[in-house]
Amino acid sequence: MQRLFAAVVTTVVPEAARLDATGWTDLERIVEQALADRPASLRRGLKVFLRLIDWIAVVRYARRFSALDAARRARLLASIERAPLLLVRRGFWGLRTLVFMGYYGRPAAATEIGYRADPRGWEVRR
Amino acid sequence: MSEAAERRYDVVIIGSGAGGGTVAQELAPLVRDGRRVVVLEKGPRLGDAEFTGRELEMAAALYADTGGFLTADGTMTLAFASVYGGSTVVYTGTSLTAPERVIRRWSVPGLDHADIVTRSERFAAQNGVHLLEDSLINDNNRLFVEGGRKAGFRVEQFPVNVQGCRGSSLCNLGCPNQAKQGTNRVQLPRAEREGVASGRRGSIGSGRGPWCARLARSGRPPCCSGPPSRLACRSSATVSPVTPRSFS
Repeated sequence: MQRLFAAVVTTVVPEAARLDATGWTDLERIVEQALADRPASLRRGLKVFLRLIDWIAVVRYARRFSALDAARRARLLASIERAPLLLVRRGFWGLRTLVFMGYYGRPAAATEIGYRADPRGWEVRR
Repeated sequence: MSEAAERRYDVVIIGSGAGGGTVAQELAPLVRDGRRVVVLEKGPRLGDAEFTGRELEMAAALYADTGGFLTADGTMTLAFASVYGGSTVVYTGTSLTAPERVIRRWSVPGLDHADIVTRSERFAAQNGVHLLEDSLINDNNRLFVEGGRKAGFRVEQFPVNVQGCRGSSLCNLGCPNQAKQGTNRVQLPRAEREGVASGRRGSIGSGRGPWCARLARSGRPPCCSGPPSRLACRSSATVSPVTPRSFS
């Protein structure tokens, strides 16, 4: 499941492929914290959704999602994002939100993209 | 403190944001006449030191579902505040008077735009709403103004209610420098000084008395009858006091 999640993360945010072990730990900790307060049904739903992604990959390409190349992964997720079923689109929305939160919630990512919000304000930016 | 006490109130105000906080202040004089008024706010009351500006921590502390509240049809997430002071804690401080076309569309009996303007001016003065001096306009906004004007648009500055802004860019995470003058800093403290109580949850009884104003987020409360301008009933509330929280 962890490998599958990492494959989804690097597809949604390609820069995540450059993360080292500490970066992945930070990312996963943020996602786990975000999920900790949510209902157990939501966490179960998320696991089911990840398995669905893997299942679609096998049906479409005869390979697990994590074994696909970047282009196929991106195409597959894009099709899920546009799925006719609302439930599937919802699932992708939620998963993508978690991925963004996990990646960009890290202080290192804020530095990387030049996000310089700071309680000390102008005195540290000017 | 987590103990709850059964108390009866003449007025129960649901929500402590721009609406509820302001109503609390306006109804506070009733306390002098012996009426009991309480503001119920689901979210916590944060002490100044708890506004750390740290994104994930503050999102969890200030917003319902950490800012990811999912709509019933699951098509959209909403970021809305759940904290003492409501949305006035997390908005950017931009404070506008509702334009005439909006008030006309609302079609509230007895409410006209002139009335709104008069009231807005009073609260704008109370909350220190003003135009920022040029030296405080950041590079992004300066470029936006210049670009907009060059492109032929009329560009105006939004008035804001900040005092002592240090440019943290963390307005939406609650100002860590207490610059934003929301209801948590202006109206609610005034109401509290007059004796208005506050709590985190309560249950509304089936009163029919003359003094209940309930500002519900969704629809008219079942205990109330009559036009919205005269929502009235006597209520009881089991109140868990609002106390500062910590991140322990």
